[in-house]
Amino acid sequence: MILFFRFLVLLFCFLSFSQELVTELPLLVKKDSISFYSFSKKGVSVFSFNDKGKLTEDYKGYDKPIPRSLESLDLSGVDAVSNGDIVYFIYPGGGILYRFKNNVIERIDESFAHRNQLSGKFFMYNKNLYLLGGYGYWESNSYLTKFNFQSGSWDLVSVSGQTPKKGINQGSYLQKDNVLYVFNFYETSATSSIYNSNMYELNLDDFRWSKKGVINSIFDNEIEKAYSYIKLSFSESLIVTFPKSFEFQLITPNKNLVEIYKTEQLNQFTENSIIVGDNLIYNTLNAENSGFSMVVKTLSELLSSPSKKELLYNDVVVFNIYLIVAGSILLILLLTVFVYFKTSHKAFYLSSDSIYTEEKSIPITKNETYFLKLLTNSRSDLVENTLILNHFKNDSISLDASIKRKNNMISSLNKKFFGRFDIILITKGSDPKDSRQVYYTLSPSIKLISKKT
Amino acid sequence: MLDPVNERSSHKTQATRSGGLALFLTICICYALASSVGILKVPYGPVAIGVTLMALLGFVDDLFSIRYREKFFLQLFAGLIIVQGGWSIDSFHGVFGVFEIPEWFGFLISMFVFIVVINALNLIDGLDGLASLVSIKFFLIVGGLLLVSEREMFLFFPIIIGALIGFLGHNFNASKKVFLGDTGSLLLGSIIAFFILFVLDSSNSIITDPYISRPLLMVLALFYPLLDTLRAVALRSFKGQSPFVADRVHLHHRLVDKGYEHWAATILILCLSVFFLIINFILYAKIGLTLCVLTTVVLCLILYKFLFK
Repeated sequence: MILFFRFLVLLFCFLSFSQELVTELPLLVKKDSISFYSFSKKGVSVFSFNDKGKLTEDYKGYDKPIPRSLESLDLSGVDAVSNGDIVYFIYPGGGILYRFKNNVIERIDESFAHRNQLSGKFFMYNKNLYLLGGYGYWESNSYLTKFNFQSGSWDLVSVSGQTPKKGINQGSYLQKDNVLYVFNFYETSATSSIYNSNMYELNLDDFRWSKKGVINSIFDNEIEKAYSYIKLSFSESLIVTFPKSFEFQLITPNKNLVEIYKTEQLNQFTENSIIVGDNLIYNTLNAENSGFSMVVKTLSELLSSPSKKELLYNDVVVFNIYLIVAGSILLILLLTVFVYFKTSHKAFYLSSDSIYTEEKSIPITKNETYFLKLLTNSRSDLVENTLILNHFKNDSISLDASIKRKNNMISSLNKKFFGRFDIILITKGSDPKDSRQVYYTLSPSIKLISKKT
Repeated sequence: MLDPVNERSSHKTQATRSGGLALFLTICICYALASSVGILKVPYGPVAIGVTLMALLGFVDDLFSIRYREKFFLQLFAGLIIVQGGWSIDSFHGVFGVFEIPEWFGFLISMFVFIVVINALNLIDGLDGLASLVSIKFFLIVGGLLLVSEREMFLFFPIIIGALIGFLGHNFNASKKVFLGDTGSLLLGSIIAFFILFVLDSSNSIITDPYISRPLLMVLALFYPLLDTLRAVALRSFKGQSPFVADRVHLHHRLVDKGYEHWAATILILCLSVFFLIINFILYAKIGLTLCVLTTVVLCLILYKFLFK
């Protein structure tokens, strides 16, 4: 009996003083510019900012239990969109759709858990619900599905233009009027995740995709890191924060602008955060995980002055660097051609009756041809005087006359050649050891190529 | 594939027309390698078909010489494949105050541009290195545009520029000369024509839009071939000749006849076209499209008077 009594006391103490661990945070969904919902599995609180900027809470338990399929989910990880008093929740991966209306959360689809659009963008446009892209069954996709309120199923929307056909996984999205900006995403397959560096726009009126350019290289392209980024829509911008970093980005696609801010205050906020008016609202667990508290921060204070500004896409810096490199390549190419032709041997072709280039030619006599053939046939473009003189020697004339004829032929050839091509053809030299040994050579800048006619 | 020496030839020694074929094979091999490792994506089947058709047409023309009408018909067919593949001009980008144009008109204009560009490049292929260097200049410009708007296609530009630089060494070789031939000029012409259609397609974002009009930029990127073709066609028409007849009325022939060597004439033409590009880039933001065109025309006339007359 005493033992039983002790057991009852212990049980009472355990129940009275033990802490319940909180593992799930409520789901925050923006209602309008001054109020928001906080959904838990038992009920919903509507928080509103009063005139003095203070938060007031109105909690109600659900009139009916939430659907069983929703019970097993961590609510804070569910995507939701609101249309005033109605809130829609999408099951991760798409397919199953819930609606909160008149204090009841109920399932409204006739579909099933698709599981192929995990990390897709759930959004509302013209009171229609869409789910774009995502990952599932070992590959990413760029499906745009639209919920059919009549049939309760999801219909595939036909899109046109420059669709990111290999899919959109872990993308950054921002909806502004009739345009959905999509960027900084990955094309994932069973074996790899390739970063798509293009900036895309989807026109929500005609569902036409268009590429706007390559996004700035400041964006990290490692998919492992992308899973931990927190992205929040704020007016016409997207706030992106990174774990263990005091930096966050404010991305404004329609201004092609990325503003980088530094603050220690945003480092702890969670994925389930919302922005209502000028306030950033998020829940944070306490140190013992036994409860949570709601944090409200004024964004205008955090966004006072950016530490850096960058272009979101079409980075002019990259283009300018490219222009310098391309200009240098062109300049080097032109200089190379110029220097090559200025310093290299000028090629002349020798036929039986002329010397010619691609552009010009001069006729030559038989003696000149013979002399030039001797030159082209010699290994060092050199002909000894005695060799050429032998050609002119004739029994009927004196040696002096032969020498004169030879000299006349060479000077006439040189004159003719210079007159046409502006280059001296033949130069005369002598052996340094024996100055009587005279020889003739081709000018060093000339290359004479013998051609058969 | 020997190029015969005749009265219109600017070469007096034997040369082959195999440069274009070498260029085509180089591009194909490099493209296959780069695509297989995923660093180059040019996923446009119609473009590949159209360009290959043009290269084959040029190859057959180099071997057997095809009549102009048949060549023209096949050029139209290749253009049709590319334009129907989805690459066409859909806007005048503000030229004559016109932006969006009807689809049928865009189709006609795209076909016209395709034919003009292909033939313009074919016509200037009369001096050593001219067509290659003009193409290198074009690819350097468009490569920059695509580096910041369609990066997955960028590697194509180092490939083709590298192949052309390699070819230049053979083209400038005096004793073993290699020409592009029709294979090369039609291949380069069709690739350039595709990129012009690509840039002029308003759905593609181009970084230079705030600085210069797209059509003006494309005209300046291909300035010499377009100008020379326009002049040659005008002169032949004025003389009552067919615009397609082959002669030596081209501006580069005029430079050679004035005593410039091939390489010097080529470099001069290239430097002038780069000069026009830079001048227009500087002036466009200040004086607008119309005055830029007028300034270019006046400068052209002055340069013609002093250099080509």
